[in-house]
Amino acid sequence: MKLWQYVLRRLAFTVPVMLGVTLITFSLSNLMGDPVAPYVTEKTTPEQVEELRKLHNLDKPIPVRYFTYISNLLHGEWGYSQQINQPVSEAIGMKFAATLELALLAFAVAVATALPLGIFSSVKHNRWEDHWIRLFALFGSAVPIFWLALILKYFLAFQWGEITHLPQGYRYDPFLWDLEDPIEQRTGLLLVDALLAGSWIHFKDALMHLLLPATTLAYVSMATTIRLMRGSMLDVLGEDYVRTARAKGLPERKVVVNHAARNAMIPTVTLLGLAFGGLLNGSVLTETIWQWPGLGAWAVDAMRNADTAAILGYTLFAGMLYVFANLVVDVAYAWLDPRVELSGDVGLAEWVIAGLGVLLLIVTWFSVDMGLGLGRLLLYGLLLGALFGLGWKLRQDHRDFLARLREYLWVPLLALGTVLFVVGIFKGYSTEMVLLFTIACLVRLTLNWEDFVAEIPPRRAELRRMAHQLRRNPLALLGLFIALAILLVALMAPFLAPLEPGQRDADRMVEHFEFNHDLQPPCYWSCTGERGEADGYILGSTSKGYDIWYGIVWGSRTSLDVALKVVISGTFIAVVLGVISGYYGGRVDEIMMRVTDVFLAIPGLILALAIVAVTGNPSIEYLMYALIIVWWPGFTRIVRAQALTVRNLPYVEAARAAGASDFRIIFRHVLPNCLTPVIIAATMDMGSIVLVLAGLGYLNFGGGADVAEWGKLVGFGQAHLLAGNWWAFFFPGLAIALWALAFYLLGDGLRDILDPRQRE
Amino acid sequence: MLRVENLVTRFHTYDGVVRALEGVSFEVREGEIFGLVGETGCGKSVTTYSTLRLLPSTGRVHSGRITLSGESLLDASESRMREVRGGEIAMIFQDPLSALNPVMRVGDQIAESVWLHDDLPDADAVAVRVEEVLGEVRMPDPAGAARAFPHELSGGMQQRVMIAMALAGRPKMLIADEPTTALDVTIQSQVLQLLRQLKQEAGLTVLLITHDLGVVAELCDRVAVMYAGTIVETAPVEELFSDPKHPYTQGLLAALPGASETLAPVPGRVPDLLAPPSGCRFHPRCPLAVDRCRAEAPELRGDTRQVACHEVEP
Ligand SMILES: Nc1ncnc2c1ncn2[C@@H]1O[C@H](COP(=O)(O)OP(=O)(O)OP(=O)(O)O)[C@@H](O)[C@H]1O
Ligand SMILES: [Mg+2]
Repeated sequence: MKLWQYVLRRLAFTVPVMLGVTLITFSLSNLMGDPVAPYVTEKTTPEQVEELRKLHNLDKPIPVRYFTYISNLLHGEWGYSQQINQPVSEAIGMKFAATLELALLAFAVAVATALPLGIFSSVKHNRWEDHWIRLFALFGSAVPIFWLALILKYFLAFQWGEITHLPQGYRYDPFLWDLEDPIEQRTGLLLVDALLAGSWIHFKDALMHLLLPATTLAYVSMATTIRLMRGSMLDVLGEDYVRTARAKGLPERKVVVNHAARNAMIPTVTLLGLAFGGLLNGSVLTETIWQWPGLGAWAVDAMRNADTAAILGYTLFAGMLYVFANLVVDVAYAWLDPRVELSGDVGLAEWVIAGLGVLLLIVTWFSVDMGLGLGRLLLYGLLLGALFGLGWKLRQDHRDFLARLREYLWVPLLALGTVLFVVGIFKGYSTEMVLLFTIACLVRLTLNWEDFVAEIPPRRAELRRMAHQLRRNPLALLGLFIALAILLVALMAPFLAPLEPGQRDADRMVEHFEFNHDLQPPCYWSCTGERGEADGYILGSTSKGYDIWYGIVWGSRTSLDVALKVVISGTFIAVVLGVISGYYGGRVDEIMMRVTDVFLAIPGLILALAIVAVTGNPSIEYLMYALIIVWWPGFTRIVRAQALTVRNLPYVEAARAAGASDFRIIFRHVLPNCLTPVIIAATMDMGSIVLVLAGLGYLNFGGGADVAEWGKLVGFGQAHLLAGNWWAFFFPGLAIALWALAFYLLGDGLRDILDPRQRE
Repeated sequence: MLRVENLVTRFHTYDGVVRALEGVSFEVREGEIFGLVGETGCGKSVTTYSTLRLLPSTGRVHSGRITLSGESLLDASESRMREVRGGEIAMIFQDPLSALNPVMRVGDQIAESVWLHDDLPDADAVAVRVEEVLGEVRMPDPAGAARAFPHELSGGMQQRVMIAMALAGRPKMLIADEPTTALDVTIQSQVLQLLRQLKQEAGLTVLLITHDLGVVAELCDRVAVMYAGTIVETAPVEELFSDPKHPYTQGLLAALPGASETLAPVPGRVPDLLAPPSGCRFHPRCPLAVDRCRAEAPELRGDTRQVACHEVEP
């Protein structure tokens, strides 16, 4: 198979995924909010509302609307953005170049620096160079990108702006480009245009404007890539062919570069698509801060103004970009690794699905009605097929069908239990849920008391080994220390930052502020009150008079609350879905994976933002729903991959051969062996969820206008950045960074400790 | 040619110090095929890695001497070692597929050795030489094979490529670490046949590591038997088979049902090298063991026949 054929095939396979993404955006616009709400004011009469509904096709049944939506999308009608008075497709076309230029430069910088650093780090494994690079990389994953941008902006563009001559925002100097010396903008990529026009001044101007935003954006992707590259280098350096290369007499530098790095690139490249997704997420925040006239900033404006068409258009486009990036990555992978069979074995089902997807698109392009008909046909066909399959199974073993059914009864029960558990947690019964869970564990423990006692001595030895390894891992210790400190702060909040006398809700900043005391500088430890009534602001106050120290202390509770709830319920969902999917494999697994594909096709922060913005419900509860929706697919995949390997281990097969029930095998053998990667991922995600939460908060979404939340505080604090009030954004951002760093360090350390392969 | 004296190699791991080699001595003479046999885990591979200084970072040569034609390899500079590796002593490994770089064309991997150890003027000359060595290892269609990736070749072809890569540097000596274990039987004999031919044609000295006594009988001139990080007996092949001296060797040969079987177990278990037995490492399994064996490790004594045992004479 030729490479172009391969590319074509991969393109066809993205069609079903993209159809899934349109399903998400479509349901966002229809199920989550009232589509006409944005057009309705107090003066709109009921008749007018009715007319509006007609105009937007809302009187038709949902399937018709969906196919109309698809047809419109195909014909380039992506809706109309009220915010900027422009069709969405046109706006995307105009703003895409700016985002692309920023993202591409950031990506190039990130990859070009990360690969050598990752290689170097692995070569110096466990020496101080390695520790520093790891710390640098982990810090890059942990800093909230908006905070980093603010710091760079404050110091490099504002405080030292006269020395550095770096601009404080925007894409170019309007005076130069628009008035003084306009050059032809053929590509929309200013660097390229300047080169084409041969103008050094323009090039320099565009580059200076790009420098800080691109650095901000690059750091995060660079951090991920360093970690990936280092990890796969460490794997590869132990391979036989590296030893062969050394045995040939090759100098070490060549062994590392020509043999090890070349192979380590392969797993790294497969994950570069992920890094690109991170870049898209980051571009939303970066562009907002640097007033970059790109898609991200536009999307945030749209979200703030409930401009639904623009939000959904952007979400869909981001999904398309991400899917395309992954496609490029796949092709690069096929090119890098000669072992990849281009014609690889794709199941017939996949071909059929891809083919039908393409067919559906083509038909819908010509006629909505025909598309609808075909869609109906496919749906009924699918249902019929499923029924038929079930009937076939039933015929085959009808004798013990009822017995089999009883054997599988636990699956719906488990699903029900999971739903109850997750909803219970979000509805504010988390204490009860935890209690219930503990009781369940205790009951199980007493039932299996002998097994438990028998396992104590080996467990103790294992714990001792882990403690020993923890002690030798300074970075993990640091993470543990910071995490414990933050936990302590959250616990001691009422003592560290006492409530005002009449205050009812500690999390609401509105009840804890003094309007006259806005923008107080920090007084650190010497808050004696001698400098007048405004003293006592340990870390200063924001423009609204919110006490930053108070906000940070109580914000730690918000972060802890959200992170714990999302991680616990997300893990629960993921473990249930992932284990079942991985253990049973086959069609169940296939369906599950395609569903996760669709969710993973939209970069996380963007999906969360879209959900929160479109529902228009600012409560923390909705925010957590949004985070769960974003988080479960990734989690599920991790668990599923592990379950898939465990399923084929000899002792699981032995248990199956001995006639143990699926329930027993899953809970006694598969699940316990899936826990290590789950624990590691959950620990890391305690950090990343707070990062997303803070990103949402920074953009002023979720959790009410005045909730004590770190991202929100940074958002409040940045308002007076250019008046020199650095403390208002600096300290809350530091808290976020420390939090994320702590959990990333801990997760990284846990990986070393729990992974038995690394017991050297 | 290659002389190893009292080699002691240890691994410093989390669980403790692994005493992998404890006083290994043997000599490989010019032009012979010298066999090194022993059960799995007895330290055969570690011996070869120590020789070429290719131990992983946790491993270290504690003491001992390794000399190649009189030159000490343990004291040689790193750049001199690079000349030795591939240029004077080449190595081939057990599993050819994992020992070949999966993303590099076979020809390029061989060419690397040629560039390193041969003074050829340009890429064309190197390509010619690559095809030449592929021909030397009886590779059908050398030009086609050079363009292939390792996974596109069969196991026997892969091992031929490994041998070609080793020959490309025109070494004087070849260390073959279980070159046939991963191959199926018919291909095994082809590869062994090839090794014998190379020895005769190119006057190559071969250190052949194996746990297959049949291979030893068929191919080797002299042989050393290894047990738990020590050499217990060295002898010319016929003498070893006709008159084994060390109780361990006797056990091995007694347990041998046919002529070409892999090593069958001697009663007892291979010791844990984290905490090896005191004195002679074989004493817990030895039928002849006396008190002295528990306290004192025996030295390897004798000339043409060497035995490390307090109770038997060489
Ligand atoms: N990197 C390492 N770390 C710790 N111990 C090691 C390491 N490499 C080898 N060893 C130990 O050294 C001993 C000898 O290993 P070696 O690989 O030389 O055995 P071998 O005789 O080549 O066995 P095989 O026939 O299986 O190849 C083993 O007991 C092993 O546990
Ligand atoms: Mg070995």
